[in-house]
Amino acid sequence: MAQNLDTADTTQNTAPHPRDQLVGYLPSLRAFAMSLTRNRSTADDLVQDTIVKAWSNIDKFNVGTNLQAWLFTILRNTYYSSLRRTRREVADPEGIHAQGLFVRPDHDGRLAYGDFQRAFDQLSPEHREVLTLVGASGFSCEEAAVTMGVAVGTVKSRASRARKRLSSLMGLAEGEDAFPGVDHASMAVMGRSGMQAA
Amino acid sequence: MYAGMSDNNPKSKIRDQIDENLKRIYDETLKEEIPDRLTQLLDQLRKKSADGSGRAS
Repeated sequence: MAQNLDTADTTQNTAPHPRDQLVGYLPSLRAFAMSLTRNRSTADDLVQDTIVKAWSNIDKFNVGTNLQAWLFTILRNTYYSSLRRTRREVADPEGIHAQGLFVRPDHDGRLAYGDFQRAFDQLSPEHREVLTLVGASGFSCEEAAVTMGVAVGTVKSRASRARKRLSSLMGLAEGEDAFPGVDHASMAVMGRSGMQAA
Repeated sequence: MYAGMSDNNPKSKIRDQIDENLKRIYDETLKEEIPDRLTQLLDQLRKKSADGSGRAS
C-alpha cells in the first residue's frame, strides 16, 4: 500500500492485490485442508469456504504480513467451527490407507509410507495440524503459533506430543525421550494445552 | 527445523523420517491439479466484484 505513492503507474512493480494472489495459494490451502480433513472432497469444500471468506474479508488482511498464514488461519478456524457442529461425524480417509497390513520398518529402518499414513490418519486433527504446519508446510513455530492462535510454546509442546503419539501408533517409541530435540521445560509448562490437543 | 543436531542418534533419525513423511503427505496434495471448481470460484468472485463496486482499495 505505502509503495503506491512511488509506483502508482507501474503496476508491475507493486505486489499484486492480495485477491490476485489467492490463486497461488490454492495448492497449499488444499494440502493443509487435506491434513485436517483427510478427505479430498471435504478438503476442497473447506478451501472453497476459505476462498469466499478471504475474498470478502480481504480488507481485514494487513498488507505486508504473511498472506499464507492469514489464509491458513481462516481455513483452520472454519474447519474447527464446523467440526464442533459435527463432532460425531467420522472422517473418511477414502480407504486409501486401509489397504495392506501393518508392516514393520524395513531392513534399513525406514518408516513404511503406508504405515505412516495410517498412523497419521489416527491422530487428532489438532495433532495433524501442528505437525503439518511445522513439519511440512515450511512454517516456523512462530508462524504456526500465529496461524493457530496459540503461544509458540504451545506449538512446540503440541508438536512434540503429536510426534510421540505418531511414533507410538507406529510402535516405534514410547519412552519420554523419544525425541531429544524437544524442549522438556516447555513441555512441562505447556502440558495442559497439550492435553487439549490430545 | 531439524538441522542435524544429532544425526547419528537413532531417535533423531526417527524424527527426521517423520518430517520426511509429513512433507511427502503434504507435497502429494500440493502437486495435485487444482479442481476446476476452485479456479472457477475465483473467476466468479472476480467477475462479481468487477460488475459491482470494483475492488476495495
